[in-house]
Amino acid sequence: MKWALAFVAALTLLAAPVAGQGPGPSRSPDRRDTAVASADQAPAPEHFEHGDKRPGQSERLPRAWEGAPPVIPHSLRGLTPITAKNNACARCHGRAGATSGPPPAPPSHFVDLREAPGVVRPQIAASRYNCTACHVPQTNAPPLRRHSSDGSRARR
Amino acid sequence: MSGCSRREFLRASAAAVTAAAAGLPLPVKLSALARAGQEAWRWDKGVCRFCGTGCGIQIATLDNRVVGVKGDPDSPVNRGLLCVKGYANAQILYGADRLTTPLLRMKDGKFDKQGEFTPVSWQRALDEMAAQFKRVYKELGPTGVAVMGSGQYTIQEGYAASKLVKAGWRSNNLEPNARHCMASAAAGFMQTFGIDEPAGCYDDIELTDTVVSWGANMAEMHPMLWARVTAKRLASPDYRIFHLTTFTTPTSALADVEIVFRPQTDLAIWNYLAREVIARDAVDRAFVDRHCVFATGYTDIGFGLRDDDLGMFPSEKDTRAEQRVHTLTREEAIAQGRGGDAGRAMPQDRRAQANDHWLITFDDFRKAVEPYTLDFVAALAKGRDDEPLEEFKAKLVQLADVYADRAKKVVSFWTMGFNQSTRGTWVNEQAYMVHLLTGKYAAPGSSAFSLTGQPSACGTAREVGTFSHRLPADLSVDNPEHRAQAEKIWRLPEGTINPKVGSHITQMMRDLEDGRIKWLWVQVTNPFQSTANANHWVEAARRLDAFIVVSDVYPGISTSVADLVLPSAMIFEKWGGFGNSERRTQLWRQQVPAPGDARSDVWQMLEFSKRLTLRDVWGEQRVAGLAAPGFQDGRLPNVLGKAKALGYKPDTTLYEVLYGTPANRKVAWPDPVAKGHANDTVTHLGEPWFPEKALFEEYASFGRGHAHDLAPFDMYLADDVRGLRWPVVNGRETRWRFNEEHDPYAKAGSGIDFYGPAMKSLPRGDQHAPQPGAPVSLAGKAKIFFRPYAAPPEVPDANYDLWLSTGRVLEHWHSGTMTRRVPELHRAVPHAQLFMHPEDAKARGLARHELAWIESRRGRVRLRVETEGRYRMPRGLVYVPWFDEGVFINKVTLDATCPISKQTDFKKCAVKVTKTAAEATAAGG
Repeated sequence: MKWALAFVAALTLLAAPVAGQGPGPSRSPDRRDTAVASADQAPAPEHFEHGDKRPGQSERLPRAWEGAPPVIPHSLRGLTPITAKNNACARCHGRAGATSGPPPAPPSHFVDLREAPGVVRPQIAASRYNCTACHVPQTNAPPLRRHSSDGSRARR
Repeated sequence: MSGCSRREFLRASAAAVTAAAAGLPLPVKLSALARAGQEAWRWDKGVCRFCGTGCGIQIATLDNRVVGVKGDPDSPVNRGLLCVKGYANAQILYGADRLTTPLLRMKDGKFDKQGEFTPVSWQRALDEMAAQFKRVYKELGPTGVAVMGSGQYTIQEGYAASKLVKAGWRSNNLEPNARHCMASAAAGFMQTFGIDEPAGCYDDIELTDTVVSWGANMAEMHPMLWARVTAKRLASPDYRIFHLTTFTTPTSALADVEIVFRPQTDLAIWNYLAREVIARDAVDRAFVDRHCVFATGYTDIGFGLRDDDLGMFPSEKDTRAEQRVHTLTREEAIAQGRGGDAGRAMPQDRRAQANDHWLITFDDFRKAVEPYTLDFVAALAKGRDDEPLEEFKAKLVQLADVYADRAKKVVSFWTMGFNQSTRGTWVNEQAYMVHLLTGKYAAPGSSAFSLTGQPSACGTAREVGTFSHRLPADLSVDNPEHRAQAEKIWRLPEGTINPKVGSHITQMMRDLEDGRIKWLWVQVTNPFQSTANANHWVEAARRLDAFIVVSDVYPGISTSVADLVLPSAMIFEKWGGFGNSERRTQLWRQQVPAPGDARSDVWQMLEFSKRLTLRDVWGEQRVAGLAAPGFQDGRLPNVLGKAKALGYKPDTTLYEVLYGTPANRKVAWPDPVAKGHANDTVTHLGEPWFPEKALFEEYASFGRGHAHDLAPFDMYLADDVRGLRWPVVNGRETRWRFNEEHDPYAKAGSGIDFYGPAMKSLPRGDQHAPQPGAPVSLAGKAKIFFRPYAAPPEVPDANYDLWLSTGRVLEHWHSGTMTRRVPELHRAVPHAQLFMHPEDAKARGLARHELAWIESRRGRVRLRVETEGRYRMPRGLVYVPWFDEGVFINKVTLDATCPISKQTDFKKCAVKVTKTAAEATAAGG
């Protein structure tokens, strides 16, 4: 309810008609002040960058929820794209059960449930080869205000 | 909670996160405790909320909250895998600003278009909505009201909407956002096969030798299908991947051959392939003679722009003029067999006959593709100016080698690159052209497969038929037998259903602008952000006499222009079902309650229907332009008299006639299939019947026995079922339609039977026109169309000197209302950027990350330049994703559509890019 009221308050502020133009389109209630009416009134998108920390220099980021895929805390410069001949992610994270160095992919990643369920292979399953389909790097962009207080996470 | 208090569990989980954050190994005991906590989680199967792949998921809930999601190991679609958006299914419900109460613009306690959004009760909201509906319906009739729906509608929502609009209101103004997404694919299927949706299925990925991705960036847009392609490619040295695209994408990274072509020239490349297949004697004669005919249609069909100049910005004049007269380019003249006509102004006189087509001979066909030589097509189609022509030619030859090799199996995939084109239907038909010529269709491992973008573009938009021309199960409103069939199932008086096709979704926006639609209900979509040329529509929505209702889960651009905002339940807060790209229908149970006063869309329609009586809608109605046998011109008959014979009275409500029927009320709630799960549609309806099941079964009765057979509702919810591909006959799904070995509808002894019934009687003609004479029946056959290369209506010129293409990115879904509320996805891709070639940026004085204006004849937005990253643009083409409402790129795009499918071309318009004043000053200072 608190959030509903905050939303209404935001709408109330933003829905003021444009002076002298009849009802006019009200602004988007997303609290980013996106002017639906006029491109010139819309704030310019802020600059953002991916982190420049090399693998091994960065700190791990918390998972969104238990079981969520970890995000990539380091720079991908020079590491992507993943091609048939070169998978830089697997070179470091593809050592099953490694206890030191880059965190290894979990045991689930070494089983192909379509081709050979139950068979643990020495390398990451080919169906998981496109690591960035699931693990995404993070930029320095601040959260939007519409993210909930607990980061819109499901319960931890 | 087994052997561990709730508090201990939470502490253990928090410790797990903290430990992981610090990079520390987790103490074994605590790790075990965290897992023990999970023992209290309730798991149930579901389906992903996002793309058309239809990945199976398992959803975990605890204390009425979704706490986790994983890929369903038993789902044949994704075998336990999910992409990053798939995992976000656990988070999208919990953004801070969920809409939880109806909001009405009010002043002094009354509705006021200029008022401020004020929380109101559902009763107040629906009463206002009904009063406004009656005002507009009285003034404008059935065409003055409209519903914009979605390819993200559940099957039941789409069916409820179809019944409300078509049977109740006698309007055909119901359209899904899927019109923007796969209408060209649907039109291509109907014209080619006489029935919608693919012959093959995803199994073909593992069964084929070659995958050709045509303008489909599958690595980002269908990532879990791409995972299957990747796995097969890595395991099989002879498996080949071709990627045809207008710019380099992540899909290119795993392709053996990447072909970058100029926008719109896919039309020419297909005809080169057809020419090669014939020249190399690779036509599968037996297949073609037995199962196919040749056909073509008109070329002077316009570009789906407005025919008039209403509401026109002065800067739009030259592009709009193309709709009436198009000057033939040199390449078009050659490609259309009108060599002498280059530079000729061609009146677009066949705009109203875009759908018409006729039979031609194989010899006509062969002559028509003759101009598409390697030299001609390579020069026209080469997309990178720095690629040597010979290299480009060599790749086209390699592509032809695959299609023309009788021993090779091929799957062609496509999606928005084809569908979002002013010749989208044509290019879909060209894919079938080559696959049918070579007999590589409707067989395991050989497929031309249209991927859909949305989770139920197939299941709802197409199969239920939430389009302005459709009724359920491929029936059409303009076919008297189809109307009769629907009137029988729906227990309606004869003559109730309106025979005049309604407005397509872009036309609805134009109608709103012209004052022809004044009451609009938006459900499960964000059309004021997603419709091209948006400046017009945003302005129109705020006109004084239009009443706009938006049902949504989060605020966005559409809620901001609404008069009434209704809070909706999200995917796992209701019962529902989706149908994916491979005809797989998947149902799910409600998992958690919706927040606050948010209610399911089914409930909203049921409650609204209680506020309308037959007297309001079933009297005589004016429908401008209606002309159909059995109907007085411009009129729908009064059917109240006939309604009496069915037991209805003038004050019977639409709820009683459409939804709470005696038959539906027999489908009782509670139902053992629920296994303890709640149904809040029932809770709030306050009646003991099960709307989602009753509506599903009633809908299924349209398709059973007509090659659209669905299984019983309960079967989809059985523990050992992970969706079923229709037609489901005797409990068995169908993997390859039209193929006698697999499809029970294919006639015995036919081998292949293209039994689709639509458009199967055609006149004969030549390449340019039909001839008089009796139409010929084509029962059991598919059509091999000749469709020529045609230029788009707006191309870069001296002023607007760049092509603009728009689309998605992996991390965001559509207009971003859900995914931008997931912190990890937002931080991964916070804003839409302007992807451009570094030299194009440099030529405009722009450096990477600088602000720029992108401007067309229709509008402009400001955004930041990206010359690196995941896309590598050729010179002359820029790409902007559309998920970001802060970079409202649809103010810039062009609302030209395929004249057959009415689907917008979001991939091509002309723009210029300039430095912003601030950047210019900074550079100057």
